[in-house]
Amino acid sequence: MFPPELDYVRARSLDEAIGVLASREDAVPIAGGQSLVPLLKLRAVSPGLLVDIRGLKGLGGVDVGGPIRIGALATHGDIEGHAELRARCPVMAEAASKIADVQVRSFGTVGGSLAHADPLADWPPVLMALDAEVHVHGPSGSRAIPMGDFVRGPYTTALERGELVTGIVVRDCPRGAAYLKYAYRHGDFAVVAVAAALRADGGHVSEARLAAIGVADRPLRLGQAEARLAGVPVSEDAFADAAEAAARSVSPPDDHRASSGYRRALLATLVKRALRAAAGR
Amino acid sequence: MRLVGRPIPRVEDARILRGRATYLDDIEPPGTLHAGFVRSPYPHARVLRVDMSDALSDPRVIAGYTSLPGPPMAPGGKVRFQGEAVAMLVAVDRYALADALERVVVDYEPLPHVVDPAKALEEGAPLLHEENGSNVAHTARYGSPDAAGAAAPRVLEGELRVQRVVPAAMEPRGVVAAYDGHTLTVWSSTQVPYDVRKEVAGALGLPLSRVRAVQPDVGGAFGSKLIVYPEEVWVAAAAYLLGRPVKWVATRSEDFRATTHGRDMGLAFRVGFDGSGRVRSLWGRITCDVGAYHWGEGLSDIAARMLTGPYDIREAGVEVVDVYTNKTPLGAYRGAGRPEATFFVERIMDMVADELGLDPVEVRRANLVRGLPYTNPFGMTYDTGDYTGTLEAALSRLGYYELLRWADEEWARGRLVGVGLSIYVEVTTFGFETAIVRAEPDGSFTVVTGTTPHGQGVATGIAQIVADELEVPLESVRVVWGDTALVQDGIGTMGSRSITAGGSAALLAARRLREGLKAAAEQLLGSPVQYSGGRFWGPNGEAQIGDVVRAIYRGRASGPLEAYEVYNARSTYPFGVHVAVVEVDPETGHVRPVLYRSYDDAGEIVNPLLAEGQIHGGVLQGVGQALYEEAVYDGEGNLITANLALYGVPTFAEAPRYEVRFAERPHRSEHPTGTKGVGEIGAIAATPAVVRAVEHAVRRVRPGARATSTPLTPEKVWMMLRP
Repeated sequence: MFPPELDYVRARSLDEAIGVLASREDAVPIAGGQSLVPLLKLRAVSPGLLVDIRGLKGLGGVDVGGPIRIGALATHGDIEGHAELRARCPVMAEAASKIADVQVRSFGTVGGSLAHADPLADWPPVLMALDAEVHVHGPSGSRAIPMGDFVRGPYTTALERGELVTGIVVRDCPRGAAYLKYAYRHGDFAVVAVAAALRADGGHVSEARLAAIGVADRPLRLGQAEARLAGVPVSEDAFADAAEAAARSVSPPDDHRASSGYRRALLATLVKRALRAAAGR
Repeated sequence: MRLVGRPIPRVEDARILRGRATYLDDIEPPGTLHAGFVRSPYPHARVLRVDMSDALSDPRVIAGYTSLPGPPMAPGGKVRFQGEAVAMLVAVDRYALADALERVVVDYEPLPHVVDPAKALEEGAPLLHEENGSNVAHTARYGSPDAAGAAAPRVLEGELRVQRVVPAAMEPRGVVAAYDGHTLTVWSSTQVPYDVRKEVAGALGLPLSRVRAVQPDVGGAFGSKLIVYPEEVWVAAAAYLLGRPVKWVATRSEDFRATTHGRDMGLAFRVGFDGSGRVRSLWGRITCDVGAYHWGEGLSDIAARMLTGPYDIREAGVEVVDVYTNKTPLGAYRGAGRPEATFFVERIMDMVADELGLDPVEVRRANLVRGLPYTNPFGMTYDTGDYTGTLEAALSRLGYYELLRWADEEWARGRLVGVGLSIYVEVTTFGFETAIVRAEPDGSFTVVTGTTPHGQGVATGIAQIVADELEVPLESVRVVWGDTALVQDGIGTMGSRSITAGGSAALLAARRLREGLKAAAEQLLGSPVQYSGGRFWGPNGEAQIGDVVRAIYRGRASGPLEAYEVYNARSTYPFGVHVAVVEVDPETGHVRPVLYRSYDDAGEIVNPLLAEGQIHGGVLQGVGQALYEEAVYDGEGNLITANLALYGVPTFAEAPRYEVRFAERPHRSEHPTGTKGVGEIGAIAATPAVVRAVEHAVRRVRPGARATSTPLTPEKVWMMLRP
């Protein structure tokens, strides 16, 4: 890697990191480096200062004691391999296992992935379907941002200057949740992926949350499909109906990886499969 | 016990697998400077001005060049593909270099460009080489000109296409050069050190004796490193002019644009046949998109001359048109013309079968060449084999009809799987090759091969051959290569020729050395002697081979200590049958390669373990061609699949299960090794087998579906599955 000359500082505390990031416009945080380093290699970005937050205490770990709390510095591999989390919220382990490859999962962090906001990142749809909160800390203190409000566009988030993601909180992880990712090769970015969370009461859907990537320039909550599921009997017909509604509700991008029409068809298939998988759990 | 024929693990493994290999980027003489290139962002532009003054104002930047001995940069003042070099900078380190490259200002006048070969042939298309008068780089005709209009009971016409791919060797290209005031040493990640030496010496006006070319360990090439690239000469020239070592290693993105691409051929065909599937005539026109420069000469000619494949089609004619476009130049890529020919003829055989509602195997059987040697309509003489017999053996060993029945059962259970078969004959081996076998003072032997292996395990195979010939243990034979200080001439590893041409040269050298040592033993022992297992004996006593060698080294006997052999190898023709099984997701169009079986008559197999490895690797590249890979240019002439994140090389996770077999009673080539070569078989046979497997699956859902171009991306398969 031969980036332009840059400074590097290893932050000793969260406040120090935030202080530096807030004071220098050309400073960027680095944790696992799985998105930033490739960009530096390509000279697609040229920050003046890297603020290494990887060693910060208290920002890692997975806590399933009460609400599920996952530190920003937890790696995808930490999430994938956490036995209690897997028991409590299997969809998170499932999603983690579908990110890239072992090397990337060993370094890449959930906080870094969220802050980078690649439109095809795997966490946003999962966390949207789980109604998670993103906890951030910055010069003016801490706040929690609903996952649905966090991503504002491609590589754009609700983070203010100097703010860092500190963790995510999942208060409600239904057992019936699934993440279906369609990629051309193992470890590729998704073409289209769908996260579904489903609850049933007496054979009827009591709650359905769906989110997708690959069908817009950012992760999307599939509200119209969710609406079709409200109160209806859990059935293949209902899933097909929701899938059709989902497909109708989007205007997917058209590029060399996949046409708009193909993405729409994939969305319908994946919504159906995700709901089926969720209902089977 | 003979070593040839045994599955001996690579002797190279200890170094390669433990990270002890020395690749190009591991070489850095003290004081090395780093070179880099300013490359065109445009597919076609006039270079009006190159201003390096800002870059050169940085004291870390040593030199900047817009011309150097060797090929011209931006010849005729134009760049013709995105990534073509415009200027070269030399700096003290790679950081300084990367900064400086961004500070070179180039004024371009963008010119109209063309990336579609059909458009490039139209009247008024932008011309890449004005002096050429058109974008036609080369034309040729083979076979019968009457084939186009030949009468037949049934006629089918169509077009087929094999896409452009990126060879994507794990190690990108690179070169290091150092001049010590007398000798210019050039290390290059290449398949052709002899050519590098000749080109560099020629460009600098140096005698060959003052230029040494070294091929260090090379992390893959697949044909993409068998030409001498301009960068190799320029970097060597800069080292010579500056008197300091200079190094250049391509970045991955740079390598994707500046190293040759492969395939990219289309075929328009007309096939005449009768109701039994016997093909009466075949006419084709191959259009090959050679990119901006004609570096890959002969690729489409090989494809044309192998177009009838293993089938006896007497009335056949082919026209070839190579077309310039504003893309990276085309070059050899594993199989180099034979994968394209095999894809074309195997697709045609499947289409004829489908037209007639016949078993594709039946149609092939009706057309297979009977009786070898056989000279095809384009003058290629297939040497040995029994194609019909091998087909029957293959069908049974590969369980082809059992797989078809199993696919039916799976479909009845709702699982969509497809089975595809391909047959190929291919041509390997050409030209001379060199070998030196040298006796070391302790009675061990060093073999210098003129071939240039880069991961295949050729050194192991040659050691087996030489150890057998000398009747010594494998451990007594060491094989070295890739340095013009060791062997001055050769061709190299390409075209599946290394064991056949290089192994035969080594075998003959070993035989000659053994005979010379025998004569020396007779002097020492004072009687005629016999030799076996490393020992000479006669009525007066015996001597170990090491004793005889030492006696020669010390002047107590006269005889040779080494033998230099040049072997001229005529082409030879492997034949085989491959079967692919895929599973298709009918809703997404996703194709998963499940199983791959092969049965090859490739002559003698020196090392079945390494031969099987060659099949695995070749097949996966054929799978990539069939399903995953494509070098995509957008309308602006940008290569948009410009690195490994955007370009789909299949990985271990996409690989099918392999079941590789070789013919139990192979047909030997005429060469001393009896081998025919295995390096490219997989890449040749796999693509049509996989494509047919996909089509076989899809036709259950859409009976008329037909696959005519690769890659069969999920979206394309999804389209085929739609009503």
